Amino acid sequence: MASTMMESLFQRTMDDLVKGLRLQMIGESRYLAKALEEVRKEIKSTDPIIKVTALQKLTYLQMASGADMSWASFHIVEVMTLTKFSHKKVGYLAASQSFHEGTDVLVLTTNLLRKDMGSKNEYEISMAIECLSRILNPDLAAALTSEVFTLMASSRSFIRKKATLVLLRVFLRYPEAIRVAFKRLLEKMDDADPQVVCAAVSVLCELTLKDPRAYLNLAPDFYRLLEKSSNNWLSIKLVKIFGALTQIEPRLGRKIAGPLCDHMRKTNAKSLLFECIRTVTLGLLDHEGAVKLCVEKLRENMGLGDPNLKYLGLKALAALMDSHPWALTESKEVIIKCLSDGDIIIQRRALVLIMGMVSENNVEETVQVLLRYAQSADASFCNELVSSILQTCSRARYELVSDFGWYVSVLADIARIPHGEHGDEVGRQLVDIALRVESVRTDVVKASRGLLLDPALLGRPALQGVLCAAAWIVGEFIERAPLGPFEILEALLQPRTRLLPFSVHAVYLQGVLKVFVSYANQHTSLKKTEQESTTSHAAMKGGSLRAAVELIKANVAPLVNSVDMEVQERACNVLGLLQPFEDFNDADQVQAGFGTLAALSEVFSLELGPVSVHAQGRVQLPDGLSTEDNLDALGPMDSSDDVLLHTGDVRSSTTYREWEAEFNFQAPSKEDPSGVNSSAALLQQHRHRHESFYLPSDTASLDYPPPQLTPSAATAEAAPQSLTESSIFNGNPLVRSMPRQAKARRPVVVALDDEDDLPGVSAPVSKKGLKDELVFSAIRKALSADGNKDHDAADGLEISPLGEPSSRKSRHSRRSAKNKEKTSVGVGVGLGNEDVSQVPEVGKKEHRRSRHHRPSRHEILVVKTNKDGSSSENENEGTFELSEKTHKTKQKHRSSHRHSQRSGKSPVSAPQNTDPIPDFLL
Amino acid sequence: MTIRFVLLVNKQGQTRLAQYYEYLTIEERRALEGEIVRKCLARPDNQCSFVEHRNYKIIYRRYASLFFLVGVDGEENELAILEFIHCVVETMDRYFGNVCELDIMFHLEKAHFMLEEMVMNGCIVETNKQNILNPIQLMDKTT
Repeated sequence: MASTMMESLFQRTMDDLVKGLRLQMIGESRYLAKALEEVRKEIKSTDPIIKVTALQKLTYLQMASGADMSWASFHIVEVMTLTKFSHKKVGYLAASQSFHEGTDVLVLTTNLLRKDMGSKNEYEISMAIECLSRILNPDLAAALTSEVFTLMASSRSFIRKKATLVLLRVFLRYPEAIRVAFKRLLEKMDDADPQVVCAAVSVLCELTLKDPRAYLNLAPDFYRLLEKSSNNWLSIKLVKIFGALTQIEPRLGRKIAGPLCDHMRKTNAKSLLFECIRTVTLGLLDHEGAVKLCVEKLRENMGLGDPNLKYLGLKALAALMDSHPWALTESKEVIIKCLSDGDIIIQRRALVLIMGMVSENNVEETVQVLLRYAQSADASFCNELVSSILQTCSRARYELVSDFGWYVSVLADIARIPHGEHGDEVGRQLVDIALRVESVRTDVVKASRGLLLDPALLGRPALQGVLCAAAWIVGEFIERAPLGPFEILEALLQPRTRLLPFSVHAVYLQGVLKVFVSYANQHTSLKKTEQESTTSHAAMKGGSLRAAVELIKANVAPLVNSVDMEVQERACNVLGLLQPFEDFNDADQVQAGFGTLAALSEVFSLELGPVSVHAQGRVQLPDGLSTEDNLDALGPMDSSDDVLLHTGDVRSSTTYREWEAEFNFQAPSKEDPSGVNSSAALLQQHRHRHESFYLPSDTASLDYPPPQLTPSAATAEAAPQSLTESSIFNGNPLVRSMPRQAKARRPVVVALDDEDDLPGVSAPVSKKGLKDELVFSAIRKALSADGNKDHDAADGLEISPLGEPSSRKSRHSRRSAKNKEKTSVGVGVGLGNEDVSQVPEVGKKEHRRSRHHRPSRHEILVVKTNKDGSSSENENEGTFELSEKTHKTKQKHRSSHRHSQRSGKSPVSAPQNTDPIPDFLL
Repeated sequence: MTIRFVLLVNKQGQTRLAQYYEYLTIEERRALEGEIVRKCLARPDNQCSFVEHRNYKIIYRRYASLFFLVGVDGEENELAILEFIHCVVETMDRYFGNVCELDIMFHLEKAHFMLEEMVMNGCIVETNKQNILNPIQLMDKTT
């Protein structure tokens, strides 16, 4: 006794612990360790106060510093069993903070929870339910479902609402409970207490979001609640439910559009407004009126300047982007304004939307706007802007770009943006455009020249890709340089080129070689003409050739000692070519030099073009070359290769045959000569086995496409269209120009066959857990278990043709055979059918879903109209009025046990769940 | 499950209250809290209150030196959660009288009690301040 007195006297209270923690700025971990040590001792105490305080401290430590408390689970249960409420509370809190489904002491809590749930004190009950909502596992659920079920009928709404909510977890963990308690959950939707209704709807909302198929039948009830709901929380949940339901049942959209629009117009709560908008963007995209109202509201709200509303507005617009592009165009100004918001999250969303809006007509304007923003944006967003410009414009072979001169200047501008990181991509696109778009080459060369001349750019590592591309372009198309080759030579040889990495520098040297060859060639042709004229022009020209030689020598000579093999070799090549021009007085030597250069220029004048990645496959197999036999004989040899290649996977020659059989290549198609195809297959096989020896061919982004033997485009003056078709591509099986719809000003973009072979985008596979499936089928059963007598009617009333549970399918298929005749009649009659007797059959025709879907609605509508004795002028309005009437009749029916259900005439208002429910437990 | 967790964090990023509606191990909780705090606390007040993180959407609001962060799944209504946060703060204000960090530190279990009354299974059950405070005030009376 005395010892516990001492203990409690000296125990650190909760407040002490917190105070201590606040003081400990530095030695915190030591303090924590000490506190934990104390807790470990104290929690074993027999004195409840000490024990409770210790547990309280432990819970705090877990939250504040991540202390482990799993070791204390037994003590937690002990505290939970204490009689005093405030003590119990500590235990329950600790349990809900630390227990999980796998905690081993959960078994011990079953009886305790049962006892507490049967307590007289409603707060004890609520505490137990609360705890249950955290720790419930299937075992507990099996044991305690009946208690929960009883509590749902409690006279105190405080308990009812909690018991209703905990049902969500019970259902998910223990689907068997659905059979027992689902009816009661549905009853709670009509509870007198709005909080209970809200709780029931919350549970149903969560269940619906998981798998909406099962809850379509409840749509009328949700609709009724939504109509009379004045509580925003409840309305939000209901609207959310409809968001899920309308996606699988478009007919529902018609009905719900009216109330949704009303809510949007009337409500002051932005949360409800945006929930309505979300539902419209999810399932009501066909309802022009609703969408228009959404867009109007969105624009209004986004203009308010609240960043949260901007975010939500952009999100909603993104959902409309694909189906209603006009919505974006109308809000374009607001969206563009968001680019400068200062919040990266909003900026990003706006950027996505803007890129989604880009079309051939506005691409130039949009890109200019984006570039302007890029200048002022911070580095990371600037790069995002740039990369999305590059991506969008180059999409599908630059299909958006019609003025390539403009696009090339954009690329050059992008290269110059201060924190740009997209040098490689810009370079790739420059080369790509230069090769593909013949008519724009002069512009590309001009842009490249500008980039090369700027010494400041050489120091920026991010731009190496661009410079590399520019150097290659000017070398290749030097005859198009606006101010002649000499200044290009100077640019390529400027001292700062030493800052370049070797790989780029090597490209520069090759450029120098090409430029010089072209320059010297010009010189000789000038000389020939000058022999007739007698001016001093020649001397000047000769002088400048000499200057060029001197320039090259001075700058290239040091590179002969470069550590990089490639640079060294190219430097040597260049210098070797200049050897004859050592002494300009030695006419023979110079002449010989010119001869070499002339030969070289011939080599360089061959046009380089893009090459399809599949070019090799199109090489015709020469006659008489039988590849199959020989390769067969190679079998044993190949398998010995395997030993080398895959050590540890030794194959004998016999297993090689089997292995070969595993590869099922496509059977030769009828059009192709079989020889070509089988050889291609063999090639493919070979490739498959010796992948490592092949050059990578599937990379679409070749920096420099391999040269290709096409006759040079000699007639540079010809119109680009005819030029490309006549001189370059004629007679060349590897390259083909892509036919494009007549676009007067758009130049031809060379496209290669099979270029767009993208790996197939696999459709996202939705994986449903076994549990979800269980929940689904259980609810399906619960909803249709109104009594077996109603089965036929329920079948006839099947609303969703999309989501048939497998259990029903078999029955359907059995029936469909029986009903075949009737079915075909029903489909054939289609829209205008007013024959009542057809209607019940409609729902059963599940094997012709897509076709019977709409007719069935019309048929049913017509029938309803007749029954109600009213005719609708406007179909839309008619539907809406009908729905209300349906509800009225339904309400009437509820009192008179709904006799109409059997006749099965109402599609959506199938209130199967409103019958008095047999109590399964009692 | 809509609300996945509720966090109260001070300006220094120390957790003052954490309530998880799905089970995460202590290590996962610590890591998650660290990441979220780093992401949200760095954002200035004039930026939007929604941050996407992993598969959560974090909705947060700052009150004086305390940040209220609520993690929800993708389908939850963001503005409703902001209203919920405000409701939490008002309830605490009513109980503690101008609530501050210290109130929550020294009365952690009461703060938990309030949250338990308001949220269950990740769904909001009660938004009426008096209803929320009833059991707590009753408990105060008896002890």
